Amino acid sequence: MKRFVLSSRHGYLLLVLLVVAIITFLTAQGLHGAVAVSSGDYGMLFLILLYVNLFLVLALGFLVLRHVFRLWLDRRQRRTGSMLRTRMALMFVALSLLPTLIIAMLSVNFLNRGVDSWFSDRIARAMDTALEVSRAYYRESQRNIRHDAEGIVRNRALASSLTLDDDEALSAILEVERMARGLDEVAILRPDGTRIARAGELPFDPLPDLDAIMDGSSRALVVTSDAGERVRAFVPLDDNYVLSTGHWIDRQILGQLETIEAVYVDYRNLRASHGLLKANHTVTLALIAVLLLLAAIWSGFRIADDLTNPIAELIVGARKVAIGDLSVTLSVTGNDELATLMAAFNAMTRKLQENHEELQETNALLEERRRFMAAIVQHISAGVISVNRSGEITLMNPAAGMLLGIDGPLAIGQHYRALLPDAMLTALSQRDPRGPGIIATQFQMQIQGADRTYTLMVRVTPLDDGAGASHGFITTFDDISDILLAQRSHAWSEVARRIAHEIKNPLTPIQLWAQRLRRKYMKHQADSCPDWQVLDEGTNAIINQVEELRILVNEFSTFARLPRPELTPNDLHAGIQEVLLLHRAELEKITVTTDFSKDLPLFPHDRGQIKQLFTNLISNALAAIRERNAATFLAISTEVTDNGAWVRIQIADSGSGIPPGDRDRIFEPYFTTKATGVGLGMAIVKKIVEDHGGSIRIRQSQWDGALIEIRLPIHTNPLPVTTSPEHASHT
Amino acid sequence: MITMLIAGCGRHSQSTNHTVIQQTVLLLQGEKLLAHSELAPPFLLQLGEQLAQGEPLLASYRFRIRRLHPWLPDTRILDKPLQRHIRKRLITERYELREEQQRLVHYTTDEQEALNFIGNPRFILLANRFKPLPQTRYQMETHLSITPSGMSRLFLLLNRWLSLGKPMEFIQITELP
Repeated sequence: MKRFVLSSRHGYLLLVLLVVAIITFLTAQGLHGAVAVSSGDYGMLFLILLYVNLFLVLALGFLVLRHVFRLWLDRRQRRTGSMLRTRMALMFVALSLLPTLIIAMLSVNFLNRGVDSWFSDRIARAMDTALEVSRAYYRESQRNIRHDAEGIVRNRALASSLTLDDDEALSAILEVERMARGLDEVAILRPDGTRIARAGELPFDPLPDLDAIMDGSSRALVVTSDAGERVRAFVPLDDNYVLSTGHWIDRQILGQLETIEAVYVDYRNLRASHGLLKANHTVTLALIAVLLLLAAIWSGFRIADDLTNPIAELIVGARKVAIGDLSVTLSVTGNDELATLMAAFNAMTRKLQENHEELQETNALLEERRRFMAAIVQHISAGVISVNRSGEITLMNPAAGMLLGIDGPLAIGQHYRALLPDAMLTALSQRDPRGPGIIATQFQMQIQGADRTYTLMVRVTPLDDGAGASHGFITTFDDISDILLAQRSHAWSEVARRIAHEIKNPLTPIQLWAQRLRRKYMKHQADSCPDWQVLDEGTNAIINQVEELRILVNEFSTFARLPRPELTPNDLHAGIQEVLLLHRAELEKITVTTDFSKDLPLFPHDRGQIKQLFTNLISNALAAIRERNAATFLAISTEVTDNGAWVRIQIADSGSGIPPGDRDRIFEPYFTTKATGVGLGMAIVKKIVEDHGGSIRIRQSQWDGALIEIRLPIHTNPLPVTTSPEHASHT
Repeated sequence: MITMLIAGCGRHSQSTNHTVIQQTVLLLQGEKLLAHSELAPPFLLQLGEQLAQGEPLLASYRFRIRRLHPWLPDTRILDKPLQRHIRKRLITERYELREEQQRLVHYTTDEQEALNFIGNPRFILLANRFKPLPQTRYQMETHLSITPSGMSRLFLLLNRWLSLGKPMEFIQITELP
């Protein structure tokens, strides 16, 4: 189906062509008519046609030059479609040039040959002859009139009748002569113009000077009317009378004579200018040929534009789509294949736009979920490490970095083997996630942190696409040190409770029986008796050991049955001062410094348990100071933190300190670094702190001793303040 | 009747074709202003040859008189057209003479009379009442165009616009004493 859209430009073009066609037709008609009417219009009409064609050539030439200039600019700017337009324009030129030239040359040749044939000598002679024949006919009419007049005069009857003086007879004779000679009027006049007799009648014409023929001559004087359609002859009859004969020239013949004359005049004019006529033909046909050629070129440009513009629009639209602009909408005109293609393109971009919007919504949702997951991953206490197929770390959350002592952002992109601790690598190497048949697994491992040993529960989850192809793995690990410690503490509590229950009961009878044996058998000292000495030593040993067992059982009982704290507002500083006062004797040789916060209010805590807590800590500090036997410093400080929500208590000593590896285990029941002691003091301290909702940690003091840092909530329900991860991990 | 010759313009022609319009004479009869014009005999012979070919001709005269002002634009005070058709009938060998304004047709077999009709118009009435002002300068313009007769008015106009046909237009401009 041909693509054609009738735009306003096409309408104007059609109108111009129609006007040109009408002008050309009228001009041709005028040429044809002018030949018959007036030869003077012939060249002028050709010139009019010439000017019209010249105007059209100039107009079309301007349009073509405009197209060529635009095409040149487009080619220079490498615009889309310029190459195709160039090829189509050249094709139209090539297709139209040769036929147009051939037709123009043949037309000029044929037309000039025709013009030459029109004005050949034969035709010219024929025209001259026709004019001469016409003149001869006209002269013959005049001669006939003259002969008739002279013949009548020579008629004797007429001459004799003039003597009769009878008008009727004279008229009859004249009528006979008129009828016999086929004349229209025969009359007898006097030389002064007075009419004597007449037969027939012609319109009046001015009389010639009749005296000029009254010289005795018998030759007639011939006179024609102004228009030449009437001829009269005057012949003297005698000295007193003149015979006049008149005749109408046949109007039909006269009309034909005028036609011959007009054609002759036109032909002569045309023949005089037939060289110009041929030149006009040649120039006009050349202009028409140029006009056709320019019209073909212009049409070629227009058709090329009609074809290439949609294609260029398609290309530009495709490029926009390629760079992501899906809002492209092409204008669809017509109903041809190109229009169908452009409509399909619009439908495609529309569908792409819809899909893109859906994809954006999905991406936004995924991004939201990703952020949500990232927020979770960033803030959960568990460590998360994601490793891709090539072993590069793609994700490491802060908890993982803190647990492993690695800077998370710097770890991204590095190979996990270069960063992860050896213990974890050893575990991962035994379960290579990139190997075939990977299954999710989990294991426990211990790694040494900066100040403590962490027990981690590691879970390895392989990433695959569902078809078995591995995309890496995710490792998550939790610090379960506190959980294990709590489990052990709970277990020890249960053990202590059972021991206290099972051992405490038989101790009293054993002690009573040992005392009873001493009272009965040790009344009289018998040093010489070896058995007495054995009894003495044995009962004493039993009594002492039972006492030690009682102390041990009491501590177990205290640890196992530590009551829930009664939280009442109390002065912490007063409690600490009371404990220091109780240990005044032991602290005599030790430099004790206290730095209590003046902002600390009364806050809910169990005064008794807190005092026991400080008693245990100060006892441990004194034991450590004595064990080291070096500098003797003990510092106790309090500080209100987190906008008044927490109080931080620090007890620093200059003792032997606690090795980092023991700083977690020190809180385990029955773990002690001292030569004496059951290892329940720090366990009880930790339990009291936890029962108050606080936390405890151990660091190295400024004197290379131990620094015990306790955080207790000032409010019963601690405000949700940010706590340091280290503290959080030890609660 | 007092006839006064106002001007004989032939010797003071400013036209480039002054040899065609040989002279133009203004006559004042009472208050009537009349004009005679006379073409050069060679041009008349040329017209006679054209007529002898049977080609109809139209001689269009236009007589204009302007009053000249030293500092104001000139004022045209008179514009008189005169159109005369002439054609020689080749068969009857007589000249057909017709004046456009009078629409009367005259015939003559005398070639000189025919050429005088077209080339030497006499007693052309320019104005019924004309009184020349003293101390006033006048300028007369005689315009003549010879065109092939039988054309329509549109083609005559186009003929002038497009400079078609022969250049048969002549102008004579003369300042009156």
